[in-house]
Amino acid sequence: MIKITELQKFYRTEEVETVALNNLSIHVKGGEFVAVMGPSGCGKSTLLNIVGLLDDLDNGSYLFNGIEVAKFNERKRSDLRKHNIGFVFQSFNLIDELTVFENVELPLIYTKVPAAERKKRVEEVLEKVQIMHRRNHFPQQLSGGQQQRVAVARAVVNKPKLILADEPTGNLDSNNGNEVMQLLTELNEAGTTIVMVTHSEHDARYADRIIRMLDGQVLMETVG
Amino acid sequence: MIRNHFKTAWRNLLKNKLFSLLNIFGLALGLAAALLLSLFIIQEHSFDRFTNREKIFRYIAHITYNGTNMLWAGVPNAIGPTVKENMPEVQRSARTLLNGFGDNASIRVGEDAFIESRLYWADPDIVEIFDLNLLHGNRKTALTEPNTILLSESKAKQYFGNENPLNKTVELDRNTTLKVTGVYADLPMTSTFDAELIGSFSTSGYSKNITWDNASFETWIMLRDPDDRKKVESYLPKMIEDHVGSEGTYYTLSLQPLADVHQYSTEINTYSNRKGDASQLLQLTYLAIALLLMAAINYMNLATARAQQRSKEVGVSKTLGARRKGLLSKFYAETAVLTFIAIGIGLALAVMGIPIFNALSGKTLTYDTLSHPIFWVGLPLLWLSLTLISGLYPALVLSSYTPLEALQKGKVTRAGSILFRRALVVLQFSASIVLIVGVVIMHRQMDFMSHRKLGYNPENVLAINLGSLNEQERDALRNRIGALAPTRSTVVSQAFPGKGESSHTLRKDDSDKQGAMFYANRVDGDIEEVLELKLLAGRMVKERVDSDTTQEGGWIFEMVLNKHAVDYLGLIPEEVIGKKPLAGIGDNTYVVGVVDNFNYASLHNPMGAYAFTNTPQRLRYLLVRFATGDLRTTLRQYEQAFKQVVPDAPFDYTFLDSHLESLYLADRQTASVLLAFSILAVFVGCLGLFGLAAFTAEKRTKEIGVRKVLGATVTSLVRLISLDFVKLVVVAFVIACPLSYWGFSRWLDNFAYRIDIQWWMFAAAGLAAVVIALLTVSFQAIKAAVANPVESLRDE
Repeated sequence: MIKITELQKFYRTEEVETVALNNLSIHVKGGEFVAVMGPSGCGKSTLLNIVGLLDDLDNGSYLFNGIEVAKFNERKRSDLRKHNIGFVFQSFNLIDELTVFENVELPLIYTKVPAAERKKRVEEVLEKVQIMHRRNHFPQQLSGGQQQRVAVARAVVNKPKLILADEPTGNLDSNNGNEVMQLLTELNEAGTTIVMVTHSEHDARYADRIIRMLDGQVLMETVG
Repeated sequence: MIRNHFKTAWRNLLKNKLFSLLNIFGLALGLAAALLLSLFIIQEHSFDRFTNREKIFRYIAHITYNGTNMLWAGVPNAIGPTVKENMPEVQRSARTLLNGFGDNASIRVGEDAFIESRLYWADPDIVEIFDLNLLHGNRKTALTEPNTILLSESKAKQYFGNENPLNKTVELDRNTTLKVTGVYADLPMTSTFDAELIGSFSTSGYSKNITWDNASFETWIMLRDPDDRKKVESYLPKMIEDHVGSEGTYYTLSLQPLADVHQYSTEINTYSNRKGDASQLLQLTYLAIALLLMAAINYMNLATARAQQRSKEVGVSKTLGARRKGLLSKFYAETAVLTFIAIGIGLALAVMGIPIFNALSGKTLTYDTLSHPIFWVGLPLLWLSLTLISGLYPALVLSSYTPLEALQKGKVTRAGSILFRRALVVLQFSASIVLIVGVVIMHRQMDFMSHRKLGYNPENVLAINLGSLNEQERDALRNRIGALAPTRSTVVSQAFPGKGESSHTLRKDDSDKQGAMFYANRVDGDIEEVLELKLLAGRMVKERVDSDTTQEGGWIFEMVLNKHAVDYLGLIPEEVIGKKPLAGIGDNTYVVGVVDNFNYASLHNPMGAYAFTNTPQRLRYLLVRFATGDLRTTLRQYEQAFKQVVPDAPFDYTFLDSHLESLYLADRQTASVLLAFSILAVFVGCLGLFGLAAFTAEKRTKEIGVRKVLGATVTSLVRLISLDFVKLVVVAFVIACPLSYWGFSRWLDNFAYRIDIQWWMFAAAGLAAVVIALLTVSFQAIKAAVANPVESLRDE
């Protein structure tokens, strides 16, 4: 599903150029659950952003389902993103002004799903993450674990082929963290590809494969 | 999707109550002012909408007199009938004459007496030309007979209550009985022809003597076809040539269409005071647009400042696949909600502000204008355009963030956008400082004028209108009032300074073709005592005229010149006494004295030549200098004295100092309008600054946190943040100084006697701006400075 070859990414300021990713190549097959680990600043999040088409790359090739997307413009990326990729962030990134229901509904609005269908699908997925009873609450009224469950619901409501999770349990206690990991595992078992960046060895154990990074390069891969 | 947009917009509004409040209120205030101006502009454009508007014209006389050109709406009374007789294109023609050339008329109805200023004498065609709506009476015959009068509906109510006034009589100036032949619906405030009473032209003494000379009759005509204007105009010179000859005419004639009358008559001498000013109207239009722009800019400024907080929302939406177009419409929806509320509040404020607007500006804006269709068509358009303009910048900026930028809060720093917002604040503050300087200068000038020595003392002088009194009554009144305790001195006169004099030309000798204009005022008594004038040489004129013993039936007249007139003649005061200057007021008029110069008109005009005479002119005022004391008691005593002499005439009077004040009314109105706009501008400017300060404070949270950890004090931090804004105000000050100097020097040039612009006026305005800016900013600065540094650092 994801085939990245000799990826390079630099950050430039006026005086220095920092290499974030250096000749990195990875391959993720459809249906896989991959965890990316490494110390702070090793380039994990940059990689995730590039995989998620939130950031562009300076050199190299990125094939998504066999299509070269490295040179896609913002509009094409946005199209590809909304139909194929779901995001889960460490800091949830729910919109404070929208209710739980409306937050989850958002991706469906962007993909122009009719209202009745939207209602059905949102309720379905809220049911699945067991947050249905909170559908009319605002994010601030929820606990961290509940917020992340909403975020996961939002990520999967469009039935994406790929879920990108950036330290999904980083802001959660272990109970809530386990719940979220359980959720991700279930999604993976249902066929969704997952790429997750994490610091936690515990969480990484849920994955099929662990990619360890250092200084913008892949250090080693272990199969879980 | 749209529903969703409005929903988030509404919730965002509620969430940031302070910002929303500032934003809406700032917009609403700017809108209210702009709406008021638009209402006024609409009203000005809806003047004189009579049925035959296109066909109605009035004659304008182009007068050349004393080397100056003047435009008068008054023309000789021969013009109207002559043109109508010879030009079949003229369907209707009506001469009008304001009673007594502007002096008040006194009308008696049974036991009641009324003072009326809007009584016109007019030919019968006036009814058809202005399409008067006759509620009683026959429109064909209403003004055909002498001694008949039409009453406006409100006057009819005032005089006769609910009775039908038809065929009842009223008495004018105690000597003429007029029969009421009709009642017409009141002319609207938007009619230049402002008659409250219309008497038949044939009643007036001036109708008996048809002349080509006395240009005092405003004459309206209605053509069969508006295109005939050229034809009629081309006949006019020929007519003058035929009847007067090419020599000796001091005027030429043209036609002014009714459509131009209201807005293009500022230079024309007319009876009606309902004059508009096209150029002023244009300025007001610009001002309205400027106010709207300023309010819109403010919205942009505050909204963009908030972009920071909104960036997460943008980031998430974009990550989830929102397109830029969708986000644009989202932010526009938000702006639309806000501007809608602001327009609602602005409209309410504008309606409430109508009386305030009238009081400040001296205009008469009516509530009727609110129902004008243009206004209601304009409002939605205004909403749309305001939304488009106000929403432009925030929508563009917010939607342009890449999702990554937007999600990494704090990374979004665009030098361009900050510069833009700073420029906006500088612009707003420059405008504010210009206006503050203007307020200071105008109020100093007003102050200067009210304290300037005029050369006479207008305080404690009453001018009683003698109107219809005969000679015996006049003397009796003068004796009675002279004997009352508060009276210091009295004089009967033709005029008082600035009202009622006759103008003449003073010439050095026969070769002096140009001459100098001077005002002559017939007095019968000691005016130097009443006005406290300074006699430089000789004596004042005698009360009674001497007969000329050298000539059968001749009389010797006397005059007293002011210093200015003597200077013009090239003499010194002592020399001029006994001379007979060429003054055009009788060959037998000798100079008997000289008084010092005094400001007989407003300080807009330089002092000119003036003369007191005893030549035969109608005496119209009894001037009384009275002692300071209880004004109300004094006035009551005078009224009683008046009623004892003439029980059936109304007691009509003016105080000289309040008449003088009225000459500066327009200036005071300009000053108060400017003050109102300054307050508005400063307020709106502060809103912008507040927004920028809030934005900066948030932006620098981390910097402030670090500085605090390193030991910075709150005071030093407040100073650090505030100083940035003071710099902006200083830049605004530098821009504003030359602009305001230029603008208000020009305003001061309107006055012959004016103050000088001084450095401290700018300094005061600048200081005020800095203080206001600091007060606005310090709130945010202190809030940021006292915050717990751990909080701000954790925010990363």
